Amino acid sequence: MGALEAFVKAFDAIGVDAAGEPARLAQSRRQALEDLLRSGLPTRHTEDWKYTSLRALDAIDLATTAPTALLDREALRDAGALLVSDDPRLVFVDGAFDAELSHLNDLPPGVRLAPWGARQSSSDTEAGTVLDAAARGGAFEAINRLFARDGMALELADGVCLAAPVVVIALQTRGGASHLRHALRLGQGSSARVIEQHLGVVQVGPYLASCVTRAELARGARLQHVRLQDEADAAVHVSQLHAAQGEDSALDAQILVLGSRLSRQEIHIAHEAPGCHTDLRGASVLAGEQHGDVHMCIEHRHPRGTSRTDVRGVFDDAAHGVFTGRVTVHPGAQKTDAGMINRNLLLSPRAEADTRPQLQIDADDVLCSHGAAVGQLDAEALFYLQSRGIAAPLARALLVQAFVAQALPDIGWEPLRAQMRARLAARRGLEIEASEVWA
Amino acid sequence: MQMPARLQPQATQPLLQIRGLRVEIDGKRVLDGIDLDIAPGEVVAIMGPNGSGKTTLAQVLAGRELYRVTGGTVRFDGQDLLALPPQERALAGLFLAFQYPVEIPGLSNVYLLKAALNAQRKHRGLPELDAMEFLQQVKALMRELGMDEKFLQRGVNEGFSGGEKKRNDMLQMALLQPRLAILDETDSGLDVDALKAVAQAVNAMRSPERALVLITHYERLLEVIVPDRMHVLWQGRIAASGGAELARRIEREGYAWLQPGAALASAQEV
Repeated sequence: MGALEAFVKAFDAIGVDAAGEPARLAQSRRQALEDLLRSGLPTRHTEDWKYTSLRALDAIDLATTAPTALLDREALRDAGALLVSDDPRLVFVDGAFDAELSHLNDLPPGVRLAPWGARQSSSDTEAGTVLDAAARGGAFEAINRLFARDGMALELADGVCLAAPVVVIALQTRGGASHLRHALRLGQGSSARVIEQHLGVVQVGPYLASCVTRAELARGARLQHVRLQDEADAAVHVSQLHAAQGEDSALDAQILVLGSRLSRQEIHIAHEAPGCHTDLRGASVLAGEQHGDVHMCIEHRHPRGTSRTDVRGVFDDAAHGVFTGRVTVHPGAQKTDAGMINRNLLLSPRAEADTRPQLQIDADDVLCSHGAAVGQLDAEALFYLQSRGIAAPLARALLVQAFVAQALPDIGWEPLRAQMRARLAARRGLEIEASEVWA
Repeated sequence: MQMPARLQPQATQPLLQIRGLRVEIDGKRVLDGIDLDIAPGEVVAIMGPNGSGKTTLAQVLAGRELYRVTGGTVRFDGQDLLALPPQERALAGLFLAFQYPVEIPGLSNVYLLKAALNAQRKHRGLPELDAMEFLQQVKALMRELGMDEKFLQRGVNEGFSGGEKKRNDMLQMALLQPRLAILDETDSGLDVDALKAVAQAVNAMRSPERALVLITHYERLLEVIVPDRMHVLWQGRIAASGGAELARRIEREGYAWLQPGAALASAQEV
């Protein structure tokens, strides 16, 4: 049985009208199934999936979608898996909200923040739009729409600035498949920072974690969205961020990819009005047999839009990194200013990086650039560090950290920076006292 | 090459002993049989025209893999220096101030300083410095060098001017207290104030246990850091040795007199 049949069979087992879903959600599921059957799963012949094979899905029990009944919450807390702070936190375990691990108190007025799963039976309107289709998400967006039963709904009224970061943790404790879907709606002139963290417990069997986040930014809204993907080694991770930007809005989206056997991070941005600004930044640091695919698309549809894309990759052992970046400047999107760069370091002769930064420009008064590089660690910098008494393995690790830090320079929230550094150091097998490494 | 008797090192064991050192890069011979002894407490200047092998000598001593040693030996404090990887040479007390210190954006300067110092202390069997002690020490040295504290948080040499990079190398040297410091063109590209600060830092390093090697193009550095001895590199060999007066002859006449057929070069003639 192929993966597509497995998905369909898994859905049949749940049934369209499961859990007494409101009509609108049920309708979305039917539509999703239709979309999935029409598109099929991507193959290596699908242009956007040219370098990424989905064979790893075959090892996953896609029909297991229910959350674990027995959960050792203390162990999770002790393992330091959670970003501990007093800031708002939503924890989803195996695809379902966990109230005990979450923290949702003290929200300022004008902020609505809650999991939508619990409300889906009670109120048709609140959760209804969460399952609306996201354009250009492909088969995995449809799969996510088919199965997602929970996720975050964040809504900010006009002018509301949510100073505290919202931390959303997706934690996997069993094999199988988990699907989360988040909806962010930022009113005019509002601002928020959302940090999504994807983690798996160490010993877990093969699993699929999918996550689709849709963000709508009204005029002048500002959103920072950070995705930290450090899934377990047996994971297949597919996540998407879809953002529709209103006039003069600003989005800063960042990803750090450390985990998973196979991962695909997609970001789809649409400038729906003039004067939007988008920063897309990311780093993948992979080793062993890991395969990481980063896919970013920006649609400049209106004048005076700007975008900056800076994505880096560090690949060791037999790791394989893929970057596809597509900047599209539509007719009429004059004065667009777009830059895209992808830099990769190969730390081993077996490592591989495929990079495809692409520009499509259908306007004549624009400033666009794109570039890509694949290279090795700078031998001169390595020698410089060694000549200061630093052993080669640490020197290499420091240079990797420095390279990554340049793509993610201003996270602006120390607990996250600390955790990113610590996780990166751990992934590189080094005990670096990391607090001061990043310049 | 046989050195005149009065320039032979004193009875003390040399800190650095180079014998017949031959080095190639890309199949091209750059050093063609260097013999050199440097005793503890000495300040030695090495001059020579572009391409004579000065930087190659400095980099080979520090362990740069780019170069291939095809002959000769180097002993540092009794150890076979060429057998050690670069970091162990540093831990043994050798320091190279680079002609062009590299920029490492993303790696904070203060982290490098701390990692370097603690590696050194660990090697010497000393406990690591705590953050407070370390910062006190670094900041005091920065004041002496006329460096702004903002350079601590910046990336290593990132966006530093030429002079700032050289001061940063001097800061590392002062912190690490090496037994042998090789300064490769540390004076090049410096304005008067920076040169003064560097000279002060170098002169403060003079001690009976430590040797300093100044590699330079210009005499002006040797007016502010007066060497005990001088050597002139010419086509990969030491073509002349002498005292500080050798620098003045080079300043006057250039290097032409070192060419074959020119008057025999030796310390006595200078």
